[in-house]
Amino acid sequence: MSSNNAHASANANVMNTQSITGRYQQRSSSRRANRWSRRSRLSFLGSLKAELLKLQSLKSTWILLGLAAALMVGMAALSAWTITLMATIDITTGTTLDQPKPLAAVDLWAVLASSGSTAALVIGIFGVMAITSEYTTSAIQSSLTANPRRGMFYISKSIAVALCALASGIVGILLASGILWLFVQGHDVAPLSDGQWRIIPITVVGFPVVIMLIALMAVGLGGLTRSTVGGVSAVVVLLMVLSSVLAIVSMAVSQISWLGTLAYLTPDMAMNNFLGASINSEAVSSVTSQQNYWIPEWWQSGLMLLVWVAAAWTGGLLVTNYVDVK
Amino acid sequence: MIEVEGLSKRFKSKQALNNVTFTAADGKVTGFLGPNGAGKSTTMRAMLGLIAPDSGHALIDGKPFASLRAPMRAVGAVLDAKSAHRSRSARDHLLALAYTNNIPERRVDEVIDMTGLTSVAKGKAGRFSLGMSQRLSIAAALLGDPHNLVLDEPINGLDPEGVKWVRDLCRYYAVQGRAVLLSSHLMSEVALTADDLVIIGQGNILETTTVSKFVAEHSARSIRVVTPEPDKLKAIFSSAQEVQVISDQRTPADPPVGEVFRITGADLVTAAHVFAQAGLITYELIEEHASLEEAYMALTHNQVEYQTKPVAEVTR
Repeated sequence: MSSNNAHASANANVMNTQSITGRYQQRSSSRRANRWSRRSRLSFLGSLKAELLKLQSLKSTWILLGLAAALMVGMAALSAWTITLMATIDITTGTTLDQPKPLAAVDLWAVLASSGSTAALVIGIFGVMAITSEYTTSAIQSSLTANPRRGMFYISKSIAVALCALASGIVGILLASGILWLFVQGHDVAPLSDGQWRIIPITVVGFPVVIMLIALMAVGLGGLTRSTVGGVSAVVVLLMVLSSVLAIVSMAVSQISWLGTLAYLTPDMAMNNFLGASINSEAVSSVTSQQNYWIPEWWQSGLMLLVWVAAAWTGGLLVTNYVDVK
Repeated sequence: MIEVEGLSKRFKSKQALNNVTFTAADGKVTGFLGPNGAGKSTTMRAMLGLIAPDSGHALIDGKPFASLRAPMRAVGAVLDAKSAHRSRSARDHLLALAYTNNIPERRVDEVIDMTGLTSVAKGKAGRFSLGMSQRLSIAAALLGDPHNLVLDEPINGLDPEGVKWVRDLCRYYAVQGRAVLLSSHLMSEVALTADDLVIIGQGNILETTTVSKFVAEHSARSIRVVTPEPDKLKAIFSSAQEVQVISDQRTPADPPVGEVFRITGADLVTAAHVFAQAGLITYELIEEHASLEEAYMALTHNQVEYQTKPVAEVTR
């Protein structure tokens, strides 16, 4: 036994036949080892733990989640600075006011709620890469050999990604609130009116949840395409290109203005409209309210976003489940 | 035990597997031999549920792989040398795999130690050489102390010591009553390690036999002689019609002087006595089984997927 150990340590860096057989004999004779062997089996919790470790052990996870949170804070800071600056200027004459106008609480909440739209893109890239990196590095082979239940693999990966995105969203909104609070120090704030209270829960709870949903949609797109380029492209198209194209076309061709409604059905518009809580805030909305087409309510947009997420995620599940891994 | 029955798989225009049937028995190393593209990897992937076969099935200890409660305890597989995320450390890669099957952390350190990766375990897998990556894949396969080992060309990229280690590992697992399926495109490698032999070519099983039977059937023995007296040598066998004396190419192992011949159809002991009586000077006299590789080549030649042209033809 002692000679085995000496042998093994002397050859710690070399594959050594004697040390391996020595270790085997050591282990197979030990009851301790047999105990783990009997207990070892595939479990959902184990699979989830593995997926969390996989994400946590990559530097890119920390960079992307950190970047997402930083973008939320940065966007909030930028908007807060604009609002507080505007409050000190008389818009009609362009001169600085002696006494700043009071800020509307609803504008501040709207700023907070809209600070995530850029971050959503980063979260989308994170979600795509979480799954496509398995395919691009062939790690999928070892992952699926350890856990051949692909549904379990996909669901635990999705949950791990969702938890990370949720954490990033919560950290982001907390930091953004802090920044906003610092900016409005010394300003009078007009309280929310009766119809506007819902923006508080929609922002506080809805914001991190939306970030999480975007991550899940991205996991689905990654699972569908199995390629980082394809998945990221799909995220960019769905979160940026599609709504812009539809909005521009509907503006250019006034006869088919229903395209404007269609634009509201895209994931990013659905996300923004949901977080906007259907409260017209001048601080964030760039479009005038005189639209000749139907605009969904905030909750309808929320449902629309859910439909997108469910469709992409289910698509990813089906591909993961049934398509060969080569 | 691994049982493969009637596996067929078609990829677009190519029939990758055609009714592949064989068994890798417990207590044996089964060599799975075939040229590149013959369907070895596809068979192994189908076995592990990575590829869904069009028909047929594979059973691991009597059950489909995907239905096993402890997959890593049942099968340890090396399918690809590079099977870890490039930016993840070797230890985290193994640890994540261990977590899925509820394998304790100390087992991870055990396999790292066994495969000689201790000093690089915290390094990123992407920086590993082919040999190191191969060791990492083997470490992952050993994590669950599996009852079956499925190794797809596990010696690619390994140094001689690593190659010997893998051979010993296979033998050791077999001695313990476990099943080892070892694929290779080299007959010599399989002949050294395996008990049973399954030869595949273009998706068809060409032969299912044992290594000793294959050797007995296919290796016509020959004698290699290096002598400074070629005429005398030829004269000795001139009357024996069943014996052929053919000039052979000199290898680095041969003495640098004299002429090299290969003699077939003669017995080594008899030949040595005749040489002594005739006073033939020999610099080298060896019995060879080299034709094992040739027998395999002859068997698979028509089945080779990617046929090369002779070198002379290529450079013409």
